[in-house]
Amino acid sequence: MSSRITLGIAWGRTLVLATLLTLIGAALAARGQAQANTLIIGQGNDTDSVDPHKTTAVLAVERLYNLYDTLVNLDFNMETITPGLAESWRVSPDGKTYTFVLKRGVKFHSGKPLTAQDVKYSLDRWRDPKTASPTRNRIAEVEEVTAPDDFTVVIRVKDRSNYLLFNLASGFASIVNPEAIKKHGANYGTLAVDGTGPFKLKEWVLRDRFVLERNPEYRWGPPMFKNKGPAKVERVVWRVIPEDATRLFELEQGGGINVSRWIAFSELPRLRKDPKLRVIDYKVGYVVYLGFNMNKEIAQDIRVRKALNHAIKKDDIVNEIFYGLGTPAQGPVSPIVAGAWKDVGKAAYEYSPAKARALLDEAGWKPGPDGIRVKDGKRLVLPIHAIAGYGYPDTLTLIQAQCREVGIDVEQVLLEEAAIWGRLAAGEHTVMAMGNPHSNPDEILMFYFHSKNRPTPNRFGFADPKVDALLEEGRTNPDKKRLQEVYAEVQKKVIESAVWVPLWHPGRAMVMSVRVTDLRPHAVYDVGYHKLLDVSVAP
Amino acid sequence: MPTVLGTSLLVFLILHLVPGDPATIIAGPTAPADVVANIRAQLGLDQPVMVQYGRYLSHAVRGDLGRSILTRRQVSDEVWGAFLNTLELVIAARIWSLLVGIPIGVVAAVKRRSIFDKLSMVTALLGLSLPIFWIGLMAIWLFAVKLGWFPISGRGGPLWSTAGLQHLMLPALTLGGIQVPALARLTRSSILEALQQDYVRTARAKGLAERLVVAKHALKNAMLPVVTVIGLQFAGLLGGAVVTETIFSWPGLGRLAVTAILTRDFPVVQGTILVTALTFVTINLLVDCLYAVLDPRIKYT
Repeated sequence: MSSRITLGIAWGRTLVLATLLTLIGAALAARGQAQANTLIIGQGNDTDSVDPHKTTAVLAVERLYNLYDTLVNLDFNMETITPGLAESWRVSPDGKTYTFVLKRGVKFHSGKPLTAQDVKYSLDRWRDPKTASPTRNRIAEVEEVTAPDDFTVVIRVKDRSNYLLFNLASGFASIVNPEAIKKHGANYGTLAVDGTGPFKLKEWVLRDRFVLERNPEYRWGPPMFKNKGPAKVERVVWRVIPEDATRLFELEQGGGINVSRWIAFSELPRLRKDPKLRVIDYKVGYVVYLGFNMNKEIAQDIRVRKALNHAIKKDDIVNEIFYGLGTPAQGPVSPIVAGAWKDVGKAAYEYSPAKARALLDEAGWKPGPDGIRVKDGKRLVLPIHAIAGYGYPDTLTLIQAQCREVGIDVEQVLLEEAAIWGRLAAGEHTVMAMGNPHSNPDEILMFYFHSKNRPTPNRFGFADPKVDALLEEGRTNPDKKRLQEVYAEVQKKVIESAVWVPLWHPGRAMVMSVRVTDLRPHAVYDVGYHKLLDVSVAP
Repeated sequence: MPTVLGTSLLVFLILHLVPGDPATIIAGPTAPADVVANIRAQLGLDQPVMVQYGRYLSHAVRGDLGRSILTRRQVSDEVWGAFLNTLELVIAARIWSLLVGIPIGVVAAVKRRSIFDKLSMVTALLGLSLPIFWIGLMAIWLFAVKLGWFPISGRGGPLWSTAGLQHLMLPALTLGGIQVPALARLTRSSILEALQQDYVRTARAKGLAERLVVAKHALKNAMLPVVTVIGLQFAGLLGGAVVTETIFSWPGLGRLAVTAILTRDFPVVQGTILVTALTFVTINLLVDCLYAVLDPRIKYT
């Protein structure tokens, strides 16, 4: 009996000792684990798919640019269309036929040479309702894609379009290998990918890491990059680190990750002083706004809409919530986008509680006993729908306080992302807060202010035949000078109608180790990372 | 089996009662209504709820849990991978919390009212009151950032690889660490009670060394409530390790379930619930068997 027990105790001691030894061994080996020549990007979420026709996620698009190529690219200046897989293209005088000449010697990761048929297949798959691509409407104007020979692609559009090339430069227009799609079926985009891009998919452990390996044969980098390929780094890893504090630890201690766009704004002032880190501030085409639903009675009075525009101090939102990273918005289009109205300041509403009060007085809303205005026994309550995240709760709290000053009772209706879109589509909101990326004025104004886009994405019930006509002209008129006037007019009308309260244009910060060089942020679709050809990581 | 089936139906109905539509998430904010409707139709989400459930069930009984709405991966692959990651973490945490918690409890009970007893029980009380996210972040700061012993976060690789083992250490220490106090306190009170029993007096009377009295007679009998709690904690951890998984970027079942619920990814939620329910059932069975081993009076027919 007793010998068995003694044996048991002895065994227990061995186990404890073994555990301790393992711990120490593991601890010693943990030092110096940084991988050489690898760019490790840290972010909070993973993405759904890297099938270009099955996603809308920003976090997917930055990977698409590196796995695939597109016919054309949008330059860092957000204005010029530059070559991609197409080395040149011409547009017919009536603007309805685009002829692209493809680069030669381009190969997919699988080794298959790229031909015009692959381009045709990719664009047709994107357009096909059976694919159910969520971004299909981006090339709705395309009527037919043909491939007269192996290196020529012809796209015919129904009407002249000023934005087809912008959309062909988006990650969703990536060229895929038809054979790979047929072979892998439903597993394409998660377990298997075949593109012509500078990196190949090596490993994807969902919600942990997404590993790309350099494509050694890549020589066809677009002219907007200094390096035409192969990429300078051997590997790019996207690591998913959901907790802000952990992500910061990983970045500051060097090794775990060496760049991130997802660092809490509150930490930036401190990180800017860290000699081991470099913070790159950059602008994106983005606007965050409040939008009235004009089908609601209270929102039909323009004086109420204007009052809200005057009541909100946008500087406070930018400075107090987002630590100054961004600029207060005057109009609906980001000023970095070509086509933003230069004289927007002339029409914009300045912060003036006095004007807001006067407008509300005039509209018959008189101060009630608790300071909130009343009209015909009804209190002036404005519910604002927003996603419960991304800084919206803080923003609405600040707006709530500012609006109380002029006698408006703002109510926060915070919803999770899965629930909000359906409720906005049903039109239950009086006011909503949201933000959207855009690289040209059409991308934001057409979606939100053309009457045909009601009830979604024009969730404001905004309908103005003149604006509709201008937006259509903006899409089709090739005269650049006239376009400036067209879009200036649309922006003026939108501001005058006070259907939106443009809040702010967020800025972005990319924080990286000083060992990372030549990583240039790109503002398109708020991705930050375009092709990672020029980047190098010093040991 | 009825437990699992009931859980599955209940979850399916609750999920469909809560407002939210995965098609709108896939479509994004700028998609027009017809694009959203098309996606919904392609996914079969426009069918009546009971038709959807029937179809789900008829596939599930044949071992096909379907594909995730969001990632279009096989649910079985996604859930199984995440489950194994969590299992790895929870077992490692369990082992070390047992190795530390039970001995502390035993020693505290034997040396009752000693400095060790008081110190360990006060520490345990403190440990019980500290939130796990705080302990986790402090552990990262101390062991990974200051001392550089372990990597900060992530799952480095499979368990048998060096990187895998290193990455497992900190989250396992944290998750195990929060169980040690409860375990130590429970063991202590359980042993104290056992030490009052007649059979202990008999053992002492027949001249058995005190160490053997505790190890052989008291400990075994005191283990009954401890085993119950261990079983409950273990099953709870499989679903509830989400905070630890988040802090340490561990791609486990808890995070998978939360993401799936937030995006209304019905098949994945079903899959995680199925695995969790099966685990609960299995662990309850194991605990029942352990009772019989510990106390021969308990017999199952």
